Amino acid sequence: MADRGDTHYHIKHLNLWFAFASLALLVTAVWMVLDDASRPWKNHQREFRALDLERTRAELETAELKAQAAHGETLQVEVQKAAAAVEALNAEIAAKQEVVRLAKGEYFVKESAAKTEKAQYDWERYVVDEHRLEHKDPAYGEAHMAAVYERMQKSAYGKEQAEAALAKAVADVNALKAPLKEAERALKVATKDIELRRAKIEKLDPADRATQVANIVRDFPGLDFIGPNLKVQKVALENLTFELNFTKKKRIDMCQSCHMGIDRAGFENAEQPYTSHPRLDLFLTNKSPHPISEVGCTICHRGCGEALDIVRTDHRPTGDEQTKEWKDEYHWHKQHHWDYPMLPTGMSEAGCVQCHTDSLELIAADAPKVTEGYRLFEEYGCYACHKVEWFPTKRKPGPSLKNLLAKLTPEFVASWVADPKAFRPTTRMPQFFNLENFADDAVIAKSKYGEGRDVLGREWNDAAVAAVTAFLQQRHPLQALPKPPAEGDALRGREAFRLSGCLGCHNVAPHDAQTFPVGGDLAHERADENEMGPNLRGVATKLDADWLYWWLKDPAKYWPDTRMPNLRLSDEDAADITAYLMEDPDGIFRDVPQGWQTSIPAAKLDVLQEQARWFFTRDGRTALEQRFEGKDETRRWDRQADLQVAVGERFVVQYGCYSCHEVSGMESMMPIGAELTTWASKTVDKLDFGFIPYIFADTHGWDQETTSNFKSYHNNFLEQKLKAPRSYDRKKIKNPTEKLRMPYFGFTEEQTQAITTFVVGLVKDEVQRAKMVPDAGELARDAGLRAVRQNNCAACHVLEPGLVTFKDEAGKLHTVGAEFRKLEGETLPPRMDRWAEYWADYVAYMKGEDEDFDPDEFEFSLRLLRPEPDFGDIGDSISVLAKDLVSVKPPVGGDLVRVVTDWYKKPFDAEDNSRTPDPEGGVGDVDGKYRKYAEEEYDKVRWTFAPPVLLGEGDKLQRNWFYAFLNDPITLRHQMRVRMPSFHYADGEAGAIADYFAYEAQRDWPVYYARKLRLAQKKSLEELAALIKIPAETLAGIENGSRPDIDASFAKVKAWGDAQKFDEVLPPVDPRHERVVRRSPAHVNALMAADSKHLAKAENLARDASGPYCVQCHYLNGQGPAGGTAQPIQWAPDLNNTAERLREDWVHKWIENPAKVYPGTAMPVNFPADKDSHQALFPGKAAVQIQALLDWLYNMQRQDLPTGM
Amino acid sequence: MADYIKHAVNWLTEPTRYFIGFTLAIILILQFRKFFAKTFVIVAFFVLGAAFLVFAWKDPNFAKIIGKPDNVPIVILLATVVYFSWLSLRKAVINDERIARGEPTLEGDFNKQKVFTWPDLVYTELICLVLFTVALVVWSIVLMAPLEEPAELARTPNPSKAPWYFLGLQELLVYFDPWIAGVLLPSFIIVGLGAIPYVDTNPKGNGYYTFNERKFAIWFFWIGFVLFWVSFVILGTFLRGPNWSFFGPFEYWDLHKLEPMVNVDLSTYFWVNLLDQPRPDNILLREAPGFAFLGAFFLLLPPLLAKTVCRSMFAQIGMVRYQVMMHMLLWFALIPLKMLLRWTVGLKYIVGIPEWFFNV
Repeated sequence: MADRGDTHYHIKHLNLWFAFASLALLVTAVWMVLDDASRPWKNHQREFRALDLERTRAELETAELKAQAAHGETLQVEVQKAAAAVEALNAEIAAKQEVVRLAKGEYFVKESAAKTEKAQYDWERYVVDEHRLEHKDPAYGEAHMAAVYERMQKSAYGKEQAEAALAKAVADVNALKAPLKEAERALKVATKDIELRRAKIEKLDPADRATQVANIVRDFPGLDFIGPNLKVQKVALENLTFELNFTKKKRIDMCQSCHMGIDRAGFENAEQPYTSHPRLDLFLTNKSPHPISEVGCTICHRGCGEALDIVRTDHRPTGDEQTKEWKDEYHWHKQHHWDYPMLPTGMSEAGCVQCHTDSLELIAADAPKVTEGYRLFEEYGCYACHKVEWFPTKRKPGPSLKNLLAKLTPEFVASWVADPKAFRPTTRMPQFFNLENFADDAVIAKSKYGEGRDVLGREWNDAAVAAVTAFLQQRHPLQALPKPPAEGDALRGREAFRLSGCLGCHNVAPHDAQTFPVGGDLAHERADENEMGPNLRGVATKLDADWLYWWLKDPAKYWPDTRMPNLRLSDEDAADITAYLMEDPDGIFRDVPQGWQTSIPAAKLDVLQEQARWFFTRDGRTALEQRFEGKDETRRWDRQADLQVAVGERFVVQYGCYSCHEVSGMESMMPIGAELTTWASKTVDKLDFGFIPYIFADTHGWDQETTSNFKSYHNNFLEQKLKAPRSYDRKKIKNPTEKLRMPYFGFTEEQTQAITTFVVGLVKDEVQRAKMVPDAGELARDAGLRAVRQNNCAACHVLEPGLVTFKDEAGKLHTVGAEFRKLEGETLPPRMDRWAEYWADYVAYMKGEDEDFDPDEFEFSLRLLRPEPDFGDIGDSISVLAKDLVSVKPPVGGDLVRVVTDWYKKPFDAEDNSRTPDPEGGVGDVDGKYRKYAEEEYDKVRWTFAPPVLLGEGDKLQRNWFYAFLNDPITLRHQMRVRMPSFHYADGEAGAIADYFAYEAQRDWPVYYARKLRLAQKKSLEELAALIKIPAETLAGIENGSRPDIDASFAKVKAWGDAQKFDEVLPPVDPRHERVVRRSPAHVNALMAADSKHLAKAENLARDASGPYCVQCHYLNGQGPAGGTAQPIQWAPDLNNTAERLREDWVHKWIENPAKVYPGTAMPVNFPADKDSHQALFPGKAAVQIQALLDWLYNMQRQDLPTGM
Repeated sequence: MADYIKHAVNWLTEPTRYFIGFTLAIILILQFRKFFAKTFVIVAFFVLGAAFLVFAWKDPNFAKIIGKPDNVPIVILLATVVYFSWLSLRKAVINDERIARGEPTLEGDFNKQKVFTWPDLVYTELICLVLFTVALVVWSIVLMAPLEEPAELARTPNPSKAPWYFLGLQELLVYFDPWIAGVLLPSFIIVGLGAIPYVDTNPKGNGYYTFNERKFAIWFFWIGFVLFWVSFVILGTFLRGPNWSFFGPFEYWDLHKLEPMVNVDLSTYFWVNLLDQPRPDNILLREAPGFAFLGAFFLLLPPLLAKTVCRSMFAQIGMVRYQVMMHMLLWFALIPLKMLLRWTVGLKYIVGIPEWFFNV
C-alpha cells in the first residue's frame, strides 16, 4: 500500500509492523505444531512401535517359527502342485464360471424384484392398517392385501430358486478348485503364528508405498488431528469413580499412552516406560483377575491417570539418585495439586487393601508385604488404639490385668511398665515411658501455678511409673489362687515341656541372639511360629509359681481372650512343667538381660502434685490445693498413696492402657488413637510433621524443595511415626498433657515398611462395585487361613510341602514338592529351612572324614510329596546332584515335629543330663515307662510321636467330624505325648478351619487330577497338551494351580481323562454335600441281602491274626492293639471312629497304598493288587477285599444292622 | 543482608502496613505528581523492580508464588497498572501546565485533525490483534495450564481463592459479613458507577488528561480503583495463603500458621469497658450504641458536611445529587473505617446481632 501522505500513521511503518507481526505469528504457529508433535507420549509411541517391530522380527527368527516356516515351504510346494492340477482343468472351469456369471445375473434380477415386492407389501399393509383404524373399518382391503401378499410370496420363491441355482453353480466351480483350496487352508493353519507376526510387521512397517505415504501423512505434525496412528490410549473405568461435586465421575487412565507394553508379555527387559507388568498373570491381561479394562492403573498405583507426562501424572522417583536424574531430565517436581501421589515402587501393594478388605488372607502369597503389614497391625495390637472399621477383630491384644497380683509382683509391674523390652527384647508390648519427649534431663512441666516447681523428665517418668503401678494394685486387689494339688519334678518337667508342645508357640532364645548353628537346640531358635507366645527366657523371675500352674491348667480362666490353648495337661504334667520353669535346672528361666532388676521407682510427692495439677485442671486450682493440703476428706492428696492412685488412673487413661488390656472399670472407654479407616485419604496437609522435615533437612542437607516433598507423602509421615513415635514433638513447645502418646514398638525396617504399606492402603472406599466379592469357598478359605494363623496350627502341623528346585542336564529348572531323605551317617534328615548351612556343615564334616569327598558328585535323595508328572508319584524317591540344587523352600509349618523327633532320636549322653529323667536315657511314654528310641527309624518316630502333617487334610476328614474335633479334641493316637490342644476359638473359627481344609482340598483337586493323569499317561507336558488340544503353557498352569488356566481349560483335561477311562483319582470333596454312601441303609441292606455274613467276614479280615490283622496295631473300641501287648511305637488310631471321621474315598486310597498318602508311614500295603492274599478269610480280589473292609469299618458300630453281624 | 531485606519486605507487607503504606504512597504520588510524572521515575521504578525480581527470585518461596502459572497475569497487571497510571498522571501534569500557560492541551491539539478508519484505525488494530495472538500462543506453549485435583464438595482447595478480579471483594469478607461484602457493597459499586454521569455534571476533562480541573474525581478514582481494587487483588493473589492467613512474599506457606485474633463487638466496648457493666439482655438495647453510631454516620454526617466542608459542592450540584453521592461515599468510607477499627482496637462488629444474622 502506497503512502498517501494524508494518513496519521506512516503506511510504510505500518507495513513493516504488519510484516513483522505476521512473521512472528507464522513462527509461533510452527512452534506450536512442533511442540504438540513432540509431546513425550508421542515420542514414546514412536519408540515403542520401533521396539515392537524389532521384537516381532526377532520372533520370526526363533527356532520354533523357523521350523514353522520350513514346514510352510513344503506345504507351499503342495499348493503349487494343486494349482497346477487345477490349471489343467481351466477350460472346464471357465465354462462353469460362465454358468456362475449368468446365474448371478438371474439372481440379481430376482432378488431386486423380491425386495421391491416386500417393500410394497409392507407399505400397503401400513396404509390398510391406518385406514382400518381411522375409519373403524376392520374389514377394509382384505382382498387387495391377499393379492399383494401372494405377489410377494411368488417373487420370494423366484429369488429362492435363483439362489439355489447360483449356489449349485458356485459349488460346481469350487469342486473343481477344491484341492487347491484345501492345500491353501493347510498352509494357512500351519503358518498361522508366522502370518500373525507378518501381518503385524506389515501394519507397523508397511511395504506398500501408498500406505507408507499415508502413514507419514497421518502422523505429520499439524495433520495428526485427522486419523493419527499415534493416539492417546485410555481406559474409562465404569466401576471406579471419583467424587466430583454431586456426581461420580468415571476414573480415566491414560497411562498406556506411554506404557504401551505394560499389558503384553515379551517386554520384560525393555526400558521404562515400555516394560511389561511384572505380574501379567495377576494384572492387566484379559485372563488375569484384574484386566486393565476393569481396573486400569491408578486405582492401585495412584497418581493422576489423566495426565500425559511423567511429571504431571505425579510419578514418584525412588531414591535420591533417581530424583536427581528425573529433575535433570524431566524437570520433575511434586504435583502439589494432586492429592493422590503415586505410591512408591515398593508400596504398590497398598492398593490391594481397598478392594480386598474381605479377602486379604487369600492374596497373601501375591501381596506378601501388605498382608504382612496387616498381620503386624493385628499382632502388635495397632487396631486396639486405632480403629479400622472393617478390621476383623476387636479382641484386646494384651493380657487381662484383672488378677495381676496373682501373677506378678508390683516391682515387676513397675519395671515392666517402665521399659518392657529391657526384660524381654522380643516382647510386643511397646514402651510408653522414658521416651524422647519426656527425656530425663528436660524440663517437662514448668510449675503450673507458681506453687509447685519445674519437673524434670526423670522425675516425671519415675512418678508416672510408680503411679500406674499403684493404681493397678489398688484397682485389682489380689484374688488368691489355691495351692496346686501336686508337687512337680523339674526333670520330668523338662521332658514334658519338650513333648507337650510348649515349644510350638514359645521359644527360649537368648535375649540378644538371632540364629544358632545347625544341630543346636531348636528351642533356642526363633521362627515365626514359635514367637506366637512370649519368649520364655527369664520367666521364673517374673511369674508366681502357683499362678503358672493354674495358667497351664486352664489359661482362659485367667484371661478369657488368650490365644494360649488348654493342653489338657494332667495335674502331674502341669506341676512338672511348673517345677521345671521355676526351678530352672537349665539356667534359662532365670536368665534375664544384663542389668535388669525389678524395683518401683521412687515418686516425689511434689512431682505427683504437679502431675495432678496438669491432669485435674478442670477441677480448678482451689479445689486441688485444698486436696494437697489435706482439707478434702474424700481426696487426701497430701498422702502419697492416695495421690499416686489418682494420678496413676489418669496416666492409664492418658496412655489408653485399657485399649489393649482389660482394666476393671474401664471396659467401655474409647480407644485413644486416631481412627485409621480412611487415614490415607486425609490430605497430607492434615498431618503434623512438626519440625522433623527441617531437622532432616539439616542433617541430610536437603534443599527447600526436598524438604517440602518429604511432607507431601503419607508414607514418610508413617515411617517416621513408627520408627520414632514421639519425634514429631522435637523442638516443639508443648505442655505435658499435649505431648504425643504413641508408644515405641521397636519395629525393624521391614516391619515399618510392611505396616506403612498396609496403612497407606486404608483409603476412602471408592471401589464399592469393583471390590472382590468372595464366593462361599473363598470366604471359607479366607476365614480359615485367618483362623489357622490365629491358632498357630502351623506350629505343630505341616500345611504345605517343601519345594526343591533343581536343574536337569539341559539346564532346565524343575520344582518339586519334596523332602530330603536322611544323609548317610546322620540320624535326622537335613533341615530344609537351613539347608545351606546344613550342607556346608556336612561337606566340612565329610571332608574331614574323607579327603576325596567331592560335594559336586554327591547325590541327594528326595522323597516326593506330591505327584510330579515328570519324576514320579507321591512317595517315590529321586536323586539330584548337589551341584544341581538351585533352591530349597522349607515346608510351611511343623517346626514342632523337629523338636519332638530331636528328643526321641538324639543318642543319650550320660554326661549331659539335660535330656531325660531316665538314667538309662529312655523317653517317657504315656504308660509311664521309659523306652529308648534313638535307634528307631526316623520315619517311624516321626509318624508315631510327632504331630501329623495336614497335607490334603480336607480330602481325608469329614468336615463335621473335624469341626467337632476342633471344638472338643479326642485322643486319636494314644501314644503321643503332645496333644491336640483345646483352643478358645473366637466366633466361627473352628468352623472356618474345618471349611478351609475342605475347600482347599476341593480347590487343589484339579491340580492333583492333572498331575496324576499325566503321570499315568507317562507323557511329556507337550505331548499330553497336544493330545488334549490345549497349549502346553495352559497345561503347565493347571499343574501348578494357576486359577485362570484351571477355570479356562480344566474341563477339557477332565473330559479327555474321562474319555481315556482314567479313574485313578477319586472325585473331589464337596464341602456342601458330605455323605457316607457306605452307611446308607440301601447299601447295607443290599450287601446283607447278597451275603448275610458279609460284614462278619470283613471283620475277620481286620481281626484275624492270619490276615492283614489290623488290630495288631490299631486300637479297636478302646481296646489296645494286639490284645494290649503292642509297644507304644506300634500303636495306631482306633478303628471305631473311622465311620464318623474319615472320608470313604480317602480310606480307600489309604488302604490301597498308604505310602502314596503318607510317604514313610509304618502302615503296610495289606492288599497288594497283584496278589490274591487272605483268600481263606475273604475270597476275592484285593479290590473286593478292600471294599468289604470298608463296609465293615463304616458299619461296625451300627445297632440297626440286619442279623449276621 | 539479603535476609534483612526479606524480613523487611515481609514486615512491610503485613496487611495493615501494606494498606497504610499503599495509601501513603498514593497521597505522596498525587501530591508530588510533578516529580513523579518525570520519565526517569518510571524508568527507575522498572529498573529497580527488575533488580528486585532478580534478587527475590532466588528465594524459593517468592519464586513459587510469583512464578505460579496462575499468577503470571497478575504480575503483568501490576506492571501495566503502574505504567498507565504514570502515563495518565504525566499527561495530566503536562496539560495542567499548558492550561496554566493558556496553551491548548495535548489532546486538544490533536483533536482538531481527523484520521482515517483505514488505515489509521483498522490496520493498527489488525497488527495489534496479530501480535496479541502471538503472545497468547507463546504463553500457552511456555506455561502449561495447571491441572488440579478433581473437585470435591467435602474437600475444597486451601486457600480457596476467587478469580483474580474478585479478590478485592473476597478481601472484604475478612472485615464484613457476606451479605455486606458480597451483596450490598458490590451492588453499590454497580449503582454508584451507573450514577456517575448523573451526579457528575462537571464538563471539564472531557477528551483530555487533567488533574487540577478534576481533583476530587481523580483522587477518588485512585483511592477507589488503585487502592481498593488493584492493591487488594495484589494482596489477595500474593499475600494470602492457606486458611486465608497472611504470608509475606518471602514466607513459607505454612498450613499451620496461627494468628492471634480476639475481636470484640462495639457493644462490649460500650457496656463492659466503658460503663463497666454486663451487656443488657435486650438485643436492641445491647446494640443501641452501634445503631446510634450508624445513625449518626448516615443521617447526621451528610447535612453536617453540607454545611461545612462540602458547602460549595452542595451549592453546585443540589440536594438530590448531593445525597446520592454522599451515601455512596459513606458506604465506601465504611470500608477503610471498619478496617482501621479492626486493626487498631480489634473491633468485630459495630452492630453485632448474630441471633438475627445481622452484623455490620
